Parts: sequence; C-alpha cells; structure tokens
Amino acid sequence: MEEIKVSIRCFGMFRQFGNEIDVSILANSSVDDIKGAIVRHLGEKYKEIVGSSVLASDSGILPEEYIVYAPVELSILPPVCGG
Amino acid sequence: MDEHILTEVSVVEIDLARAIAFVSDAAQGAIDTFIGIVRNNHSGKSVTGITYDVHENLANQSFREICAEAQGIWPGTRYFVSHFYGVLDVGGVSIVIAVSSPHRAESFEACRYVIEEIKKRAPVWKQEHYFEGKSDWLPGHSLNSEAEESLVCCGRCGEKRHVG
Repeated sequence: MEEIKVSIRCFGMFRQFGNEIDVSILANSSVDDIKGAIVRHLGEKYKEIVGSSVLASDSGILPEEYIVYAPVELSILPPVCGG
Repeated sequence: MDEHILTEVSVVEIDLARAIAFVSDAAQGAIDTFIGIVRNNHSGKSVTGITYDVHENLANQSFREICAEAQGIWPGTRYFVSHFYGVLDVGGVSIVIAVSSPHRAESFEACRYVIEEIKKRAPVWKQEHYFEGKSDWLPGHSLNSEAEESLVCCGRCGEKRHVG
C-alpha cells in the first residue's frame, strides 16, 4: 500500500509544535487513522486532546470516516473558545 | 451571499461605528451590539493580554452560517460580525457583533444567539498571558459534533458536499 504525506496546520494549543507538522499514513486512510498518526507523532500524552479535536480542509470540518487518497494539507482544530 | 450579513476576521482594531453603519437602515428601529473586551483577570489569575488564534477561512464561514441561521429565526434582521486575530492587551476589543431589526426584541435575541453560537462553533482560540510571565491556551468546546454533522465529501469526488 502506498504511503502518503499529510501536512497538518496547527492551531490553538497545537501551535507549540510549530505552524505545521507532517505525518505519514497509508493511502485510503480515514481521518481517525490520521488522528492516530498525529498522536504517534506528538506522543501518547496528547491522545485526549487530539481525540477532542477535529481535522478540517479549507472548506469544512471532516467527518471521522473521510478517506484521504492523496497527499493533502489539513488543519487540526482543538476545542474552540472564541468571542 | 446575503447583502445584509457582513462577517470578517480583523487584524486591526475593530471599528464599532462601521458595524453600526452596516446594519443601519430606515426600516430598522433597533440595533443591538455585543462588544467583547479583554479583562484583567480570569480564574484568580492576573491577565495582561490575550493572543487570538483564528482559522480565517473556516471562522468566517462559521460566522456567515450562524448569522444566516439567526436571520432564518428572526426574519428581517441584519448582521455585522468582526473577530480580532492577533494579540490584544487588557481593554482590547476582541469581537464586535451588531444586529438590527424592525423592533428591539429580535435584535436582543439574535445578537445573543450569534455570540453564543460563535463561542461554541467558530474556530477561534485564546491564549491568555499572565503577570508572572506564563501563558495558557484556554479550554473550549469540542467541534466533534460539527464533524458528525459534516457533509464534506469523501475526499475522492472533489465536491464540497458529497451527494453520492
């Protein structure tokens, strides 16, 4: 199975890891799989915050079952607190 | 796009007069405004300022969606929403919402709806800075429920909304 790179733009508390992180996943992986790859990249202590975060493209928030077929840039959005 | 809704993410000081001017109209008898201000304390800590982080595209999209929803609930209302992106000292204006309507009740209710929904749904984050030099990102509302309701495509069809 082909391995692809997903660039993740960081927001909120994830800024501590830089503006962007890269993770490698197998093509045809789901958003849930990508979140697992992010936890492996950042460390187990971030499993809870990654779990309560969502991944998004520039057009919207992605459902957990969204499948990534090719290299792409996504954003990780932790819990929000605007206003 | 609805000509009676203006939303933006601003990196400069938000102009309240511009907000009021946008929603003003001879047929509108009421304007309600909400102004968010950085205060000097939170949970017993002395705050010196806040950094606002924003996903500009998605935040602006969520502001428009929320205003459109409110307009559906309170027909005839007009909306201005501007959220600050960057660093503010105590006393700085983080958000301005202005809503106008023919009568006062709709303006009050719609303005409250917009700010409460923005707090729950807009991709905006706060990093508080304290006198002792430390900073904390504040906890917030998870967008997981938004993901469950998302109709974004599967990643293959190339459409914004998947219909297959």
